[in-house]
Amino acid sequence: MLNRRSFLKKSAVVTAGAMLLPAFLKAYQNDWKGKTEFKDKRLIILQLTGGNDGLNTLVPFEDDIYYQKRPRLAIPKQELIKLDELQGWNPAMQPLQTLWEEGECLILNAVGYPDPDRSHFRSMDIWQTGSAANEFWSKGWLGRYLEELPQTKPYTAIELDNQLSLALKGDKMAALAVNNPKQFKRQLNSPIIQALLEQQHAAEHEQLAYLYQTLGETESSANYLMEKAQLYTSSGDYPKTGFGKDLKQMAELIAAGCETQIYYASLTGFDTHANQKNKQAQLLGQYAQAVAALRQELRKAGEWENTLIMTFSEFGRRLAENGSGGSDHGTANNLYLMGGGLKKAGIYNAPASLSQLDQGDLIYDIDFRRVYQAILSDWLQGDAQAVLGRSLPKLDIF
Amino acid sequence: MKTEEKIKQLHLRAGFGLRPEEWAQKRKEPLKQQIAALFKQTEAQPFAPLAFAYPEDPKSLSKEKRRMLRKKSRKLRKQVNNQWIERMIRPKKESPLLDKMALFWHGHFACEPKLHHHAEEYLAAIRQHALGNFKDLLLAVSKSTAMILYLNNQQNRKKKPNENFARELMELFTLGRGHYKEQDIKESARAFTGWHCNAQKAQFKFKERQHDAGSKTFMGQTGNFGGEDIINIILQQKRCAEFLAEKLYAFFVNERQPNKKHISALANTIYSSNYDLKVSLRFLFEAKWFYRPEHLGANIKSPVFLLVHLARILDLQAENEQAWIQPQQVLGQLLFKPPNVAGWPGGRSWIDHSLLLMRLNLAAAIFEKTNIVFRPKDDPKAAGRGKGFRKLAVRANLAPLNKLCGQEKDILAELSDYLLLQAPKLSAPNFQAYLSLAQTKEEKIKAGSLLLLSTPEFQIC
Repeated sequence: MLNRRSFLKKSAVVTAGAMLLPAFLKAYQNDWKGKTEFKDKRLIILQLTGGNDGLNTLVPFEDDIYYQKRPRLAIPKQELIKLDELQGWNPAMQPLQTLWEEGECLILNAVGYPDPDRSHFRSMDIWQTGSAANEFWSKGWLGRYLEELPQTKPYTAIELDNQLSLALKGDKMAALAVNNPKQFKRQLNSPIIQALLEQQHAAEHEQLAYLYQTLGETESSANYLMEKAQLYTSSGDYPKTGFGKDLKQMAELIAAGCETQIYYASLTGFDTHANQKNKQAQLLGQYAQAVAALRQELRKAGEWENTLIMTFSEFGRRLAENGSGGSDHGTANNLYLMGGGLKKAGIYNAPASLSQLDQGDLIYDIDFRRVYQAILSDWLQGDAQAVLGRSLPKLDIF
Repeated sequence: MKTEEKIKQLHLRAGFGLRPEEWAQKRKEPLKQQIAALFKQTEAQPFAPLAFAYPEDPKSLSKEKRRMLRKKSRKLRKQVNNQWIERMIRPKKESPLLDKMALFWHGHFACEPKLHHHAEEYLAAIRQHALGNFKDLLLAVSKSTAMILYLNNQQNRKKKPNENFARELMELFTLGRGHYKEQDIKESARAFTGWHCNAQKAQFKFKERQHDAGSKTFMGQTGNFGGEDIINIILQQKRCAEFLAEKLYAFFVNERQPNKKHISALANTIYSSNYDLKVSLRFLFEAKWFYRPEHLGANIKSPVFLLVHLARILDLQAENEQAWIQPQQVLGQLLFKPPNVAGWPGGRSWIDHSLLLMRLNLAAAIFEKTNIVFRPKDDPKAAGRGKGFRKLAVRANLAPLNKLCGQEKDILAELSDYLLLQAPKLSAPNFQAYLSLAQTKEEKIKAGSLLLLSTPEFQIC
């Protein structure tokens, strides 16, 4: 392992300047067992945890009601990044301006679901499972997608975290929670775990066989990811935060040809009941900078065209600001799709009405499960009906 | 099964496993006697009430004060959690079966009490009736402040019925999907109008003015039904006993392979005993089929069970009030915070790659900082990422284990007999290397138990 790494480093020096992937990788393809390039479509899910205020992310600057209801929170028109005649981005989103201008972003307004739940936990579960508000599902929508795939590996989906989200849970354990491969590998370093891995075990006991197999898979995945992680070191300008590191890690794995189809990462802190302005700007800035850096690296690696990034939050926030310079839990929200291979770009539908509300909250226009359906069937070429358990009106976005 | 296996099976399923001194004694006792002992002390010993009374009229307080009050109360809810865990580890007089059953009911009547005294009231209800009659239990839970608020019965009014409670009552608590009609939900929701609570006092309050006293037709019967009438009609359905039998079978016998014949035998007992839970469970533990070899290790320990079992074996003491909370959060079963009204899905959903690693490292984290960071998922209400921990805030006392193994020549075999249902093969050179580091008898006992508690074999029950 050590030798391979130093060998690769040396070779890189010899082929000076050829550090960039994937050309570099291809030259050593024979070193690898099986496929080293990922040819399918890739999906990245970015979750803004806590309920991001969509109305202050994408501001409906032509609507007076927005300014009336938010005397302290509203962002003046002249500070916004105008996206079209009606809506403009929070200035903190500036790092993504180029991406927008190059037609690599599709924004859906007023995405939500019927009978919205305003509890973080419940609404997050609804989004992560794709259930209706009155259904309780114990498997995630991506977990069920993985179950439908004919062939998976434990790392077919990776969450940059040390615990798996419900979204990725299913019977087929094809998703892995990994902070970074080194740390992941280190977890297996205890003498007892090492001994267990060497141990021949009885396979006749069903549950024991399952547990030992899971442990074995963890190790082989850790080894695989370590090998990949050593191939490419990112030089992108990511924020030096947990989320920044997660996206950097993601870029490295993608650029190294990791056969992972789905990546999942979260940025938390959006529950801005008080002093929202600075807090949200800081978070959005972090998000935008990280995504911009990821885009740049994937473009260099030739992996941007086959990548789709979906960004969502468990709910948006109430139209009227509260008394503490913040906003309270709301309902429908904007949803972002980004990537180099989008068929449609721009703003898909009209902004949510601010005059017709349900208990002070925005009324949804697009059911989020229609977005899942489009992603599953038209981007991933999967069986959306089987995954979602229902068929919804088609959303023509890909 | 061999007799010793039967004894282990019984105490793993009907309780939280045996402490070392209990094992030394019980491994030689006749099984029948041990089953009988489980049903001797079936009265719940109450917890000391928390030294904080929620003000009866919080509305007179300022907004800020009320917010602080709720915050304090939520914090105290953790203490209720701790009290319960402590009781599972060290029961007072009550049978360990009582709190095992209460844990089952907490999953069955899944509910998230928001304030500490709501949690206290709810827990008292499921413990008091854990081994009583199912009807009393169902009534007590339905009238608890926690459940009334959780399933919106506080909003269930004569003029505007709210069906949430009525629906879950049938779908999740008594009959299961497909055994009632939408019309039954509508009609029974009307019967439960006015079942409200005083949230400050955590007391049930029947609001006559909000109650719809009119005629209702429910499951083929017509009358001016109230909530209790609806519950009576539901319990008349044999299906209710079958539904309970299915869930009890999965929890106590086998979560992977339901045996229709045995489930039906259990359902018959539940129904013919008029939902007497002592009679029903005794039937279960006395049934020959309960001890069939295919049930040995068929279930995966829930996180709470895993934690309590470890605490009983190693006589753990909490070093601070987070000690029991943190592992529950990380492993995915925090008491009083089920994922939703359907409860914890259980079984293999307790396991994925990272959760398995954490579970295997849990015993090590009792003694030292591990290579693994135990960190729960982000709290959406928190400003940023949580830190996690590498060592549990607990202290072990190995004296009971030392006493159990002190006289034995083959310490590992003795430990394995006590701790596991199935001994792992320990032929890998690393095992021997690991064990050979221990010199004294006590070191050997510590190393051996740590090793066995870190195996996949310890994850099953």
